[in-house]
Amino acid sequence: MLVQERVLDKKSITQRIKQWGSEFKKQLALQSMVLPGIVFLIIFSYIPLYGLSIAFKNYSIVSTLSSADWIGLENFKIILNDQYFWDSVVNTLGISLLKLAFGFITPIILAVMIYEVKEGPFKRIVQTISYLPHFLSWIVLGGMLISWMSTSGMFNQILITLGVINEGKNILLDADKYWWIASLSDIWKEAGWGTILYLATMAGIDPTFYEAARIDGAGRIRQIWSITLPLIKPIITLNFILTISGLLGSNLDQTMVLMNSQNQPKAEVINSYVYRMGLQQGDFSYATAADLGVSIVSVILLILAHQLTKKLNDQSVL
Amino acid sequence: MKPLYSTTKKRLCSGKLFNAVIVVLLIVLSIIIIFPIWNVIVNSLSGAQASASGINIFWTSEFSLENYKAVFRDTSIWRAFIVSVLKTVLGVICHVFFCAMVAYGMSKKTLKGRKLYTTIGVITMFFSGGIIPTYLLIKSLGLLNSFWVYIFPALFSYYDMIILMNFFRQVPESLEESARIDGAGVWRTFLSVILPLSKPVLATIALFHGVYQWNDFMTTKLYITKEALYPLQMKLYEIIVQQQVTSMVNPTSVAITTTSKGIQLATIVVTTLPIIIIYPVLQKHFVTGMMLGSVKG
Amino acid sequence: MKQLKTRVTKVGIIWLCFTALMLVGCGQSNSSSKTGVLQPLDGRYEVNRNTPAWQLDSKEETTLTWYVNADWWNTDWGNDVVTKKIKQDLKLDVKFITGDDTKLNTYFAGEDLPDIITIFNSSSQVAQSANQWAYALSDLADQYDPYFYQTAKKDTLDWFQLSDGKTYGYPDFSNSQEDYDKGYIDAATAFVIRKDIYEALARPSMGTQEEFLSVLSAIKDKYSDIIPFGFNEMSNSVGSLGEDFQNFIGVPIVNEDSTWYDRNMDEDYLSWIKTFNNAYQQGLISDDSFSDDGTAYEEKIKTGQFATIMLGGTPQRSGALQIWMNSHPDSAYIAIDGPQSTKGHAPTLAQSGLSGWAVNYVTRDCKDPVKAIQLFTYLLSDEAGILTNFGVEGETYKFNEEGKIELLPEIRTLKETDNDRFKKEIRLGEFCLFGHDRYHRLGSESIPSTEQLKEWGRGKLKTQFIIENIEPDQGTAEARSLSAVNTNWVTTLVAMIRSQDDNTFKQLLKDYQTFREKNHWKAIVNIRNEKMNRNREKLDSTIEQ
Repeated sequence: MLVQERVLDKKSITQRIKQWGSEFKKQLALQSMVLPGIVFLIIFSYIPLYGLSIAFKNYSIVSTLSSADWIGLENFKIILNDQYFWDSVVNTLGISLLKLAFGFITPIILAVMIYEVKEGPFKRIVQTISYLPHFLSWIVLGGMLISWMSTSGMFNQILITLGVINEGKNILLDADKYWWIASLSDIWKEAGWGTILYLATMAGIDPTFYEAARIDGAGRIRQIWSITLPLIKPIITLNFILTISGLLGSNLDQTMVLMNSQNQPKAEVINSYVYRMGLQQGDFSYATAADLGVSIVSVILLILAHQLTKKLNDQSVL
Repeated sequence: MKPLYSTTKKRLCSGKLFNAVIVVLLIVLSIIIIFPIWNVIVNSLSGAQASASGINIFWTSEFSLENYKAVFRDTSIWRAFIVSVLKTVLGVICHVFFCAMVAYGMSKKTLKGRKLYTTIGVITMFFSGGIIPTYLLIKSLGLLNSFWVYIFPALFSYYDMIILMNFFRQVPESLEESARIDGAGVWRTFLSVILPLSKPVLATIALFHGVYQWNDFMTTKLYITKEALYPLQMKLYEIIVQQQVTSMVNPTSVAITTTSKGIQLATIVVTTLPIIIIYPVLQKHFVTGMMLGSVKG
Repeated sequence: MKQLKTRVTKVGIIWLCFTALMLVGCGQSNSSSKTGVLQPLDGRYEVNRNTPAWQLDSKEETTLTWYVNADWWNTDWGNDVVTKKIKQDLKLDVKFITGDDTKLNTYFAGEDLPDIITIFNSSSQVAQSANQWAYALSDLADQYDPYFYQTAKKDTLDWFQLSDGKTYGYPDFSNSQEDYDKGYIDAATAFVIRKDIYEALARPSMGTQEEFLSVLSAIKDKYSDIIPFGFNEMSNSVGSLGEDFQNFIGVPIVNEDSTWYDRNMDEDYLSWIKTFNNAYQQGLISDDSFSDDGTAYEEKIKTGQFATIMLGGTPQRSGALQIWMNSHPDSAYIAIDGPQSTKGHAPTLAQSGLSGWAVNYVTRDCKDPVKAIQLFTYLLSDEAGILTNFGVEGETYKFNEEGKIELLPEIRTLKETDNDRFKKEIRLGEFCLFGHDRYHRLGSESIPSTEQLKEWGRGKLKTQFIIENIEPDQGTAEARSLSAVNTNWVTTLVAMIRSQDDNTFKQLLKDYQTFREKNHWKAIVNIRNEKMNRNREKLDSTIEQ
């Protein structure tokens, strides 16, 4: 593309480069801040990208990257014809959308609530507690959830006491409930951690804004609505874009712990399927091809979400 | 925030009901959240019998420190602790400074090549070459079995850069303007105006990266074979997985005094505690508004 | 959008340039040392057929890197009684590295292998391609240490031959026909019942399906808070109700024409599954058994929550059984005959066969293959078998009057009271990469909780060499299909046991069969038959010699 342009309009291109160059020179200090980051990305993120060639090769555990045979799009064909893979796509989207619907606003609400509490020990304690579950690994948490959801576990006890049911049922064996279990337990674990970024942004809000609003007679809810939220909008937008682009991702650890033979039809997500079919079977090509496909779709989702929010916000957050 | 709340009694009074509702909600949420964590702590402090029978809910009838003794029996754990602290502290300082520097440059809309840089950066958030080529890269850079493998590859993250960049953009133009009039260059402005004003977001990124550095053991598993460079998480990972070896290979020696579950939980408490303590320390930066120090004071 | 597109193209060009650079750089790795040709000894010592070479070798210090493809492996060396002795005898320092398949692949991809590699799947691609990256054990032995043939088992070496007729890897726990015949091996499967319950019900028989159900019902009536029937965790596998139970009721492993037998479709077996289904419908099986993980299952054994258990892998559960026994000696679990074949088959319990468990290789990148083969010879010797299980005479054990090995009192106390220190400083019974079951016999000690279980299993073991390693090769379409079929079987089996009526039960089975047909089932069976033929050839040649 570059070559073509050059042939067509050689002069103006050289001029433009010159102009660009001189402007670049003026910004030398700024550029000297940005370029190390770009060099870093090229070394640590771009050079290893040749590893994606595994997706187009017949690669095994004893292969080197150059020794494996090229097989073109064969791996992608296998994936696209795999009914189980498509089932896992449906489950991934189902769980992700539930997380988006309920999990996206939870940290925002929680952050606003914490922000509205008077400064003091209570606020600090609540804040600290809320982010603790983030540090529990899914191995431990999963073990707890399994026992709580068993026939005589905590959840069934509560339901029996409340008179909702007569006899305990194992909740985890009920495939239809799995999407809810996966999304709600994830929200519960990460909501507090998710408030940190919002709280940090809120801490940057100029207090005089609130003072002015109060003088104008605005109530607390009104203040939240017209001052707090608009000012954390860039971070909300950023999180939104990343959540949308991450729709095809899911929590591998969580799935591996909570999945059992009976909820598997609803619990198998792309990550866990690729992990089991790919890495546990020593089939690196399959895993790389699937990951590459997911990455491409994710970028498309990112671009769409970015365009959308840009239209709504008149500002780009990327 | 403090001055605001203390001087605006009216604002708080006007919403007494509002306050009460929030406080009650937060208390309920906190209880829901704290319960499983409490469960972990109680079971880690319990003897085998009580923890196996599942009767430890709020407190244990069989208080015992055996699990913790088992974790701390390995004396090399202290050296691992030092490695962990070193890599976390150094890693956080380098990472936060590096990301902030790039972010400041990127926050300027007039930056030449900004769109290209953005594309380069965003792509890295989605595509990675995978473990094998990365290993080969680390190897060719001579970082295998080197402490710096904890620092260099984790120096920069495009995601953290975006957060910082969006924060820097909210810094009022007027502040930078006045610095420039005082004759400060780009670097001076960045170091003496922007950075001090951005404590909340710097603290956030420090927390994110600190938690990453503290919890990460994949880097060790992949690139480090020297035990002297093992961080705490790797040590404790070994303790957990090697619990399995006993029952796998030598069933006769399964300990009766400690359950493997108990040790696992004690391990989790020991590894998590230091990093959890960091939060209250950083917390004050989240609640001190950035403008208070500059515009007002 | 369009702008982004051109940017992407530009980035793409930049990336291609870098990739090209990298590939040029990587392509020039040297592979001169990897021909598999061994260097001559050059007078380091004179090989002697009747003396282990490690006793002749005077080389002062060697360090070898030993990669074990399992994260749980204890990487300590030279700090405990066992490895300290090995270190002294061989003048060898070992640096252990652990990891998973991905880590192993980084070594292959980097063309720089550790000196010794241990893997845990003798039919994996790594094992199958060993002739490309490992030294043949016979070459090493012939040139450096012919005494190897005296400590290694010929049956095992033959079994591990690759198509070029050479053997590259040597396994641990490789049990030969001889080991089985001599009764060196203990059964690892049992149907157990709590002794107090068994006595309270006047030692009922549970052999027929009617008896089985009526006893479980009686248990339910009498002990309301106990789960009548339990089995190994089934959250993601068939647990002990698959192969283990099939062996327990003696389902054949081959058809009459010696071809692969479809055990899951065995009438006898399925009628028992139907019985379990009836038990489930009557509330005699807890739903939690299908979602519990291994830890939760063991916690239930430790607290005696099951009345009867179909127990697979008894050695692995002996710790849990022992904990229950210690606190309730009168209610310990005991093995009884339990469910019986409806066709009169006797139990044919299985244990690890010739293929063993962990397989060890000397790689062509090995810095000192001389020392490596000495290490293999050493660790396969009877002396090393005693060392790894019982330690050093006088230091950790002595012989008692019956000529059996007995741990010294202080060592046993340490083992029972401070197991972690015992593991760290003594490490008996744990250094298993070349371990074999036959040495356990030499000891006088036993685990009380599983002693009766072993006794019950005596004489009920049968080898299954013919169906070892017969699955399709990794990475093939058949392997992928088989993985899907197996997953489907777990789901089907559990759903069948949990089904509410006969029609659902039958439909589930039918669906499973349809699923198999759609997933290369015929090809999978063909591969199994082919591989069984190959096994048969190997086994026949062994017998002839």
